[in-house]
Amino acid sequence: MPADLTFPLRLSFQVAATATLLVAIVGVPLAYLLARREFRGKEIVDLLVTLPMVLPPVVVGYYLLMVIGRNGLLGAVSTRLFGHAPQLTFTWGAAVIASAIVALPLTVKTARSAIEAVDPRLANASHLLGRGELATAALVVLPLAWRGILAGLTLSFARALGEFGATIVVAGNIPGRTNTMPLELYNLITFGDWGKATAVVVVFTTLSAAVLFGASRLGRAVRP
Amino acid sequence: MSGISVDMRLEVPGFALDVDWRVGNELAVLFGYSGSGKSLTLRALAGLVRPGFGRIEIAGETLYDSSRRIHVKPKRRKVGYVAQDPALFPHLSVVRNVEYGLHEHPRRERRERALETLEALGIANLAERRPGTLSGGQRQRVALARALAREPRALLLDEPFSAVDNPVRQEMREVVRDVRERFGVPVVLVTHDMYEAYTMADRMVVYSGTGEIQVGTPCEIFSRPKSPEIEALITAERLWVTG
Repeated sequence: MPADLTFPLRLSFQVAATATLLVAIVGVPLAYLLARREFRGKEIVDLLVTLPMVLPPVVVGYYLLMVIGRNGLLGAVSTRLFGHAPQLTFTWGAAVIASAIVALPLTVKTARSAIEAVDPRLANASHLLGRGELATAALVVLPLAWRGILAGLTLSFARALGEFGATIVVAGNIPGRTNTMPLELYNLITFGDWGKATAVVVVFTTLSAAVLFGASRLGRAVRP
Repeated sequence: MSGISVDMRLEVPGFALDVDWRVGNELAVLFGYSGSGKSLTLRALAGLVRPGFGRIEIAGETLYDSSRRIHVKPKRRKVGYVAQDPALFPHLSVVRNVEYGLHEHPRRERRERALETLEALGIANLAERRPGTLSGGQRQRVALARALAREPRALLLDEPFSAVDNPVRQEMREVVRDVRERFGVPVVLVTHDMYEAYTMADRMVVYSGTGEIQVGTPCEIFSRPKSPEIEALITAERLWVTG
């Protein structure tokens, strides 16, 4: 691996790992609610979470810019409240947000079906033994669905690692700051540096294949 | 007031149930055709479904009262509920399944108490096994132990033996009679098996299927059925069992 590729590689892993953590914190409770609760607007929540999976990532990037951009919603609210707007765009934090949003549906979908596959009679039994919803989730439902949840998180990690379209819109492609592996690959191809490009492609393909293999093994174990 | 009293109206899509009966601290059998609302009644007692109107009282506690807007959640009802599917937690050992309901007890007492209850049901030797490795009858015993360890106000049994083989079923009937004596807890057993109803009941609650209910000892029900429907129900069942 050429020395100037270590930064993009490290950055990519840093971004993907942080994004996956965010996805776990937001996505697993969301999947739990969607799987086990009826509430008003459930379909809309489901639609909104799923949308990034089918939208071109560039479109997601555009929406994100509307929210976290300098003149976006977040900036306006923050200026009004604190007198200044945080600089989020063109930082690695923006890359994390972009990757997390694009990777979220994979975890929500997979975790939701794993949670739905847990026999609801077990949750009823738990309630009748005096346990509330939180204890039931922590002690019965999630332990029985963990393989599916982990499979979803693995897929999300892989998706975050490869994020390109939304990232380039909100984080740019700044060498030494926001050039993740996919962006660096794009640069290498543009400059005709085929040797390094091939190295990146091989690394990516190997990693993705490994992740898919792991996820499918976990996924298979969900359905006995 | 140590028994169970139900007076409620409950509607689910395509079905309306209107029942009013009370039994003491005894073994009551809820008997009737499938679809007459026996299981639904039990689910309402457990709090798994909410009636539209009425009142439910178990062992002196009001668990549901529409006029006072009381609806105690299942987790606060402290009733034991065992259905045809024992719903054991597959990732926990037998003793951990029983301990699961004992979280309100001090930590060091839980194991001891769980083991005592398993002992009472004659399955202490299964304590470390996983539910997946047990026979149908053993699973039902574990489910009973799990329900009883909490010292419930009542034990609700929804056709708990219908999925096990005949000899085991006979054995389970004895187990239930035995734990009822030992734990002194009111039991409501749902069944559509006339033989089971007749042999087990201190008192029978018969759902005729037309909305009419008769409560009495098995003897009273058989000698003086209240209506032609109830007579037809017990006669048909009797013929079916002997023939």
